[in-house]
Amino acid sequence: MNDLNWEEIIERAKDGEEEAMEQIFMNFKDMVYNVCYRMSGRREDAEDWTQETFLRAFSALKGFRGDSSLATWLYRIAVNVCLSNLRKKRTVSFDEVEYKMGNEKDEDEDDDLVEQVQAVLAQLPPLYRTVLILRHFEELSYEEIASVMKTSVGSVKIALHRARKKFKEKMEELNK
Amino acid sequence: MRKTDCERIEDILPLYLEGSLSEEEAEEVEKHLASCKRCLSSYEEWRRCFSALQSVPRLQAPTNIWFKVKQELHQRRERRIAWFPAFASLIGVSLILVFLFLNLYAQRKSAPPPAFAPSPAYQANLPSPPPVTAKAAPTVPRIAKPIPIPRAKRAVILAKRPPQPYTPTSRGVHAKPKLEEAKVEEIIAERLEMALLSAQQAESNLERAFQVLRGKNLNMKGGNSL
Repeated sequence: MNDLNWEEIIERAKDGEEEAMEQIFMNFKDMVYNVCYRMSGRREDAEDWTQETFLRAFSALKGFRGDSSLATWLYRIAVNVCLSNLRKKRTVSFDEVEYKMGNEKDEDEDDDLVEQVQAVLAQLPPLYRTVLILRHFEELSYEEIASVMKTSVGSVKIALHRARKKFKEKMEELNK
Repeated sequence: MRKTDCERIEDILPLYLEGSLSEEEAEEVEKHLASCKRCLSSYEEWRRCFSALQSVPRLQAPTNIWFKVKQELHQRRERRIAWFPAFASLIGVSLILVFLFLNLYAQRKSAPPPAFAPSPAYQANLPSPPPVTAKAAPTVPRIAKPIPIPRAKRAVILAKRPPQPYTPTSRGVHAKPKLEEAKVEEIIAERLEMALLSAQQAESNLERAFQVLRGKNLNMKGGNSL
């Protein structure tokens, strides 16, 4: 985090000060949005889920005691929002991603490899998707992932190992 | 079952690629890859996967999300403010109701006994209850059976009632025929007579019950005096 006095900003946001809330949002919006986008595979969903994450965060901010960093706490809320929305939607079907790949070219991601990654991620179970995103895209340590997912480092290592194997299998299938 | 060297190396290849192995382990992997073509091709696959994952760019979140968040926060605050008077008035009404209930309860508690309660003089004349022992538990006095209405009287009443012919009406086969006023008066008179008889019967039943009770009380008094 930068030089801002986060303790003070959090306290002001807890009191309902809108400016402090905006500062929190502006600082963490990309982080939350990227997690939501990689988890959902759709920009519209990513926008909605980012909004939901910050609304939940601001309404639960009074309960934030600073045991973990604000970023870890926001990651946790974002992951929970994504997982609960994915449970509602079930997983994004592979057809949906393929359709998107063929018809709706992304402005920022005009790269086959990136879209392949997104398509493979969409096929993985949500838990595997989460650990892969947190480790490879967000570059969190095992300890940080364990804190976000409220689990042990050992469980994270096992989940990540399985997720990587599954990811490799799917990538090989796609490139056959 | 022990894992073969290839299986073990295959398992730790991702860790080797992310650089989380110790120096010794990394050296071991490198040595193995230099001598095993199968593991080398697996390593190449893993490397492709890692570079694919690293090739994903970071996106910038649209700023309009903040306006939506702000709008929703404002709406929630307004909703909370709108609910407050309703909530406060609900609490006020509940408090008034509780106060009224408590007041009524207090009045009832301090009020004199109702008019139908036995007078203190009557209560003083009542015989004292027998001592409760395991052997002689107080017996509940049996109330006399109701006296049935004399059949002769019932027959006379019923005989007075003329037989009602079956007259189907426009309302349906099972509809009751309309009664004339005179008949209605007759039926009312009959029913009054029946009610009078029942009242007389109830009176006599009560009288008998009191007699039985009086007799029991006398017996008990006698028992106590002994």
